[in-house]
Amino acid sequence: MNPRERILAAIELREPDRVPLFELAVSEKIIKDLTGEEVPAHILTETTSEKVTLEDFVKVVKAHVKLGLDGIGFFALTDASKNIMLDEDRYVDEWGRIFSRKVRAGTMSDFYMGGYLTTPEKYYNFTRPDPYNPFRIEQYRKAVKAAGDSIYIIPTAGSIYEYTVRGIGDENVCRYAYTNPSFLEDVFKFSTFYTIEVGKQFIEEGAEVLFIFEDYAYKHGPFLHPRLWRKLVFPRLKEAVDTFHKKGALVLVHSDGNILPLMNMIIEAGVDGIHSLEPAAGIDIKEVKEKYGDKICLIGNIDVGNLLPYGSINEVVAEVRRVITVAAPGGGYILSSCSTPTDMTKPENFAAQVKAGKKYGKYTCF
Amino acid sequence: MRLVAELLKIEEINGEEKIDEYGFKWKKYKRILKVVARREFNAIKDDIPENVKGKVVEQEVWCCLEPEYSWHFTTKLGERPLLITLSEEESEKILREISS
Repeated sequence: MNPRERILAAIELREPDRVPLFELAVSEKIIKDLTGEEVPAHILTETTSEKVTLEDFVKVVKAHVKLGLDGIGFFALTDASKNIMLDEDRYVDEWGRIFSRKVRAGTMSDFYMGGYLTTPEKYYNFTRPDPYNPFRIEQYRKAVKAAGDSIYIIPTAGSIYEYTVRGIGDENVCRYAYTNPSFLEDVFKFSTFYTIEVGKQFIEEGAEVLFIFEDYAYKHGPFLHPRLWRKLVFPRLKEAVDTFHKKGALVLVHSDGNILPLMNMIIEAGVDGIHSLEPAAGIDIKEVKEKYGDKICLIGNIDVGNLLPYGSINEVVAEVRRVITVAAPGGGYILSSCSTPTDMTKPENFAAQVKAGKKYGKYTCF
Repeated sequence: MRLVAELLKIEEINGEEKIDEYGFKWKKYKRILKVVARREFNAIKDDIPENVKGKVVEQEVWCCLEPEYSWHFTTKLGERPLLITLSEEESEKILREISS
């Protein structure tokens, strides 16, 4: 099987030849340490309308293939040229999220400081992101052309919950869920429209799988009570999934945190695969496989918070083996870190994760 | 259509063994499956023809004999049977065999 066939088989809950190896993104530092290549890998995650050439994508794709991955993500949610500077350090992006350039946390993106659109008035007076902004598709086209059959690229259509919520502020959204639910319904209506329109363009370009990029939960549980989530988010997620299914595309959702109280609803919405399965949030992959593994593809569960930055190679290999043993039977598992291997990850640990996946993840075909 | 089958058991087939690039020993087995449903995307739908439901089919597979690959012999996940989703080609073959 080639990377595309391997990943599609796993998402469709079939048995591929081997557990596929996927990452949403890999830090440029890890790529440099492991491949010796300095490549602008941020062009897969930090979308801007600035000119990025086909050659840039070729370099980035080659580096990820060298890492041994079958698939990588492609984000297209923010046009950085639309950022509004607040001062020398902070800016507001298209979604109303305030970021700091100076504050770093070892992650690949700028540091999220809070929401700018704290009231309905501010939200309605703010220019919202344009789903038809052509730079996104132009860059996706280049990425796919550069990838060919060597690696499978899964684009992110949008974010129904997270980006919008971060623009308003989590604490404000929780309050509005009780005091002004119709405002939130309006807000999610737009983010769903955006997600659907962007996703449709990717499908027209040939995408067979789309990500919806969220964070529905923190470590202890969902940000919104499941009852409110069903009322405000579920219908929108289902609308997006139904639209993409009608067009023949499979749908994956990314969400960190303890999403277990939402899992039945995520499955009911028709989502084909769930990424992250954060062990530090109490996600027990064995339990999740037993309970949900026949209904949804499981992606992730390799800990980026502790194991990859601070563990030993032996510990990484043992964990990859354990996760494969419980999650791989019958298909429907894709090996991945539970988020993205950041600058904090020891490069040798990431290399060990990939190597162990290939060594211990073969299915019952020789 | 992609059919879904329960893995009933795994039986040894006399004979062939192989060693892979890691030095792991593999052996040929037969999986006995019972067709129970179909998939529509990843949702399980049990509206398959009556003559297909319950049909027992066999699959020849290679299983790795090393302890690291004990999962090749998994037939149950907790209380539930392990489900195997067949490819479109495998499913079509089964449907053709039944109709002929």
